[in-house]
Amino acid sequence: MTHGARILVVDDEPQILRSLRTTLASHGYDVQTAATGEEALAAVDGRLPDLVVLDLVLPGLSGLEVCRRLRARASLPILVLSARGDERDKVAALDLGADDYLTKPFGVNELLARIRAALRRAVGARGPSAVVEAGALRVDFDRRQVTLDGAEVRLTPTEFDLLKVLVANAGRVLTHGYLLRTVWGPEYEGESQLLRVFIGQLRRKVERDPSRPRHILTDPGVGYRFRIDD
Amino acid sequence: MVVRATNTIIRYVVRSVEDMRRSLRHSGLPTAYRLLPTGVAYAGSATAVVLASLVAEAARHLLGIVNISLIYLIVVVAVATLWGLWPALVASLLAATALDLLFVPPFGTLTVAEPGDWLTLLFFLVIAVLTGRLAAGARARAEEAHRRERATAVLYDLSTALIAEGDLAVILPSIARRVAETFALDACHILLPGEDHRLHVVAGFGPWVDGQGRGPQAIMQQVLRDGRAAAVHEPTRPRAAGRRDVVVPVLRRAAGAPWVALYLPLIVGGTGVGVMRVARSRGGSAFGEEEERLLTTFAHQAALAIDKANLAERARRAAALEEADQVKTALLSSVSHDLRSPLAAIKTAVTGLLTPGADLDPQGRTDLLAAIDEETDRLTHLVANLLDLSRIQGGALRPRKEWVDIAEIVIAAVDRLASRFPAHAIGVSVPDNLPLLPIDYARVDQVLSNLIENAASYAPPDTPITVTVQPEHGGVAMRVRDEGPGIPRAERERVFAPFYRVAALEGRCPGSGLGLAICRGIVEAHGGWIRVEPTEGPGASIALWLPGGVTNEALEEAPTYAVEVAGT
Repeated sequence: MTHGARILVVDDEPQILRSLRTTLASHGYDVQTAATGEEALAAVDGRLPDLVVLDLVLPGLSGLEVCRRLRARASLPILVLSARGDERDKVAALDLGADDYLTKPFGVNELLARIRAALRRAVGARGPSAVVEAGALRVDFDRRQVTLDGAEVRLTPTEFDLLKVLVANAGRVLTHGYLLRTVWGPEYEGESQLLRVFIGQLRRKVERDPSRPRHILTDPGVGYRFRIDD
Repeated sequence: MVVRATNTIIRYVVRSVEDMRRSLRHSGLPTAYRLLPTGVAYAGSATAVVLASLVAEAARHLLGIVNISLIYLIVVVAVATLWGLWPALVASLLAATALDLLFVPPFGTLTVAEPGDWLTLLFFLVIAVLTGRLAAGARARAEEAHRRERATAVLYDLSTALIAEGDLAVILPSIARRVAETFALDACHILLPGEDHRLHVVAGFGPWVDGQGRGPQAIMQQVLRDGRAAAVHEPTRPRAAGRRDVVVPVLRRAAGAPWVALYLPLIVGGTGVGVMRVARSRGGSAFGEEEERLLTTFAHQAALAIDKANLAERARRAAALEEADQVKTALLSSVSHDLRSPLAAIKTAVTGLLTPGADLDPQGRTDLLAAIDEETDRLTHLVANLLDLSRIQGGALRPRKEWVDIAEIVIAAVDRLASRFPAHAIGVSVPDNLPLLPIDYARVDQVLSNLIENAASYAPPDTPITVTVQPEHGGVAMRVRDEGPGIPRAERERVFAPFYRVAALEGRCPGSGLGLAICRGIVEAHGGWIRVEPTEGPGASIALWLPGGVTNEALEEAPTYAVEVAGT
């Protein structure tokens, strides 16, 4: 299904554009490129791509601004690229609605995996299914029931809500701010230690080895990501 | 007291005139120096003459007129000594009148019967005025001497304080305060040129000219340029209503009466370093020549203090530059090698692939591509380290702190590295329930990974590496211990210097000598420490400590109520 998808790559470095175009095309994608934010927005005006790969460092219109405007226009998946150490930009982009990020320099395999995952999520985004299975973990949203290796796990309402948000966005990195806003409410946005405590509790209950989590993964400095496939 | 920040690092301390008056009352200055002769002096003179008359009246049967006039003379001399010339002259006239009324016949009138008595009265008046002047002059000289003595004492205090204290933020307000006290000023400000070349108040007392911290720039610039003091009568009319400036209450009270201000250049070695403004609110008491001379001496002390601080700052910058320069030299020699070798490898492999007509089998192609991949990683790593180092040295490394479970970092790092270094058994000892720490997850992970990588690279295969974590001194301490060659005692501190590599191990492992320098930079940016600890037996132990921490229990107890409300 993901083959033949249209991908818009936005980066101001011609060498990166050239190699990304070649590589992505060789994997069957229909690649369009833009060197500036303005070009990118103009390209989207024509025909919507299925996914945008967006470098946050752009001349003129900033990558974050492009991200905001793209998100305002359509719900297409956005994959942002950033330099190492620019966690602030990453978090800002994710909070503006980007779906995932990659830190430069990256391997093409990694990029292809992220593109496939983002396209898959975009297709399946019609709403979370009632039951999700991740390895030995089974989450039943309708009955608010969670089992690990067949045994029922007792979660507090807040723990369940947190797990639900993570599982519903499986594969996507969710920022601390997003999780706190969604589960606790906007006034809790800065309480990152509260989130730490609840993530710790949740891992103790739904992970086989809480100190070596397989499902609830930390994205250092950014947030958490739920992994379905063990 | 109002404390206001200015554009410089120095804080500007303004004290109200009331504060200053209060301190003046306790300054121990002679009364007459603080206040001009007033009604009190004249009333005192009159009272003294009346008292003398009573004494003379009581003794009139014992003494002749000549001796009685001596009683009045004593009064005149006393008044002159106490209150100066003018009260003494008034006392002389009053005494002559009293002598005439009470002791020169006919009594009770100003008329004089005997011509000889006229002469007596005239002689009395002349002698009274002359002795009065003499006494007043002696008093003025004593006062002057006292003032000089006090000024010298204050100057001495100041110069000793200057030697002890190098901080302008402390010394300048102190100079301003002492100058204001010594010269009974209503305002004293010290101004230094800022980066915009304008003069800015950095310390001071009393109201500024327009109550805003900016003064008559033109006058001050000229004073600074010419190195000559300027006396100015400053209008103090309150600003027109409607201006947003707050008028200092004192200025409003003194409206109409111009202030007398003196702008003194602060000069060291012929160069102006700043300006001192001293001012009095009363129009009458302008600055005398002698006062101006003394003020100049004080201004010189301020100039010396500023010069000393400037020199210290320059020396500090020079030292920092020198250090940066040394690092740069080390960087150039190290980096040119470390950057060139992967670049050379990549170039060779790529040209090998691009050469027309090259008949490469699939295995050969894969080998060349794998080499390119590896060398690119090496370059990436090196560039990242160089960036980190420059951030640390430029003070730009600011940890993104969040509450982190340190056990998560330790276990994740050990798991990741265990698969990369299968020749070593990496053991972990992490107690349950470590406190959460306010740290930068990625940066601390970088430190820990670097320490474990070092241990795994330097220690021989099949030797164990242990990572222990434990709460210590209100924070958490971590230790990475290996059984490798260890670090010689003399090099335990030097290994943390950029580009430093243990001489005995040079060549055994690739590396740029940046890792530990970066580790120290990161740990110190968190307010912690990192050091090489002595070990029993072979090997090295590197310990690091990070401050702060909240136990899970404490956190879980605190927000429970809010959580339950939010969760329902």
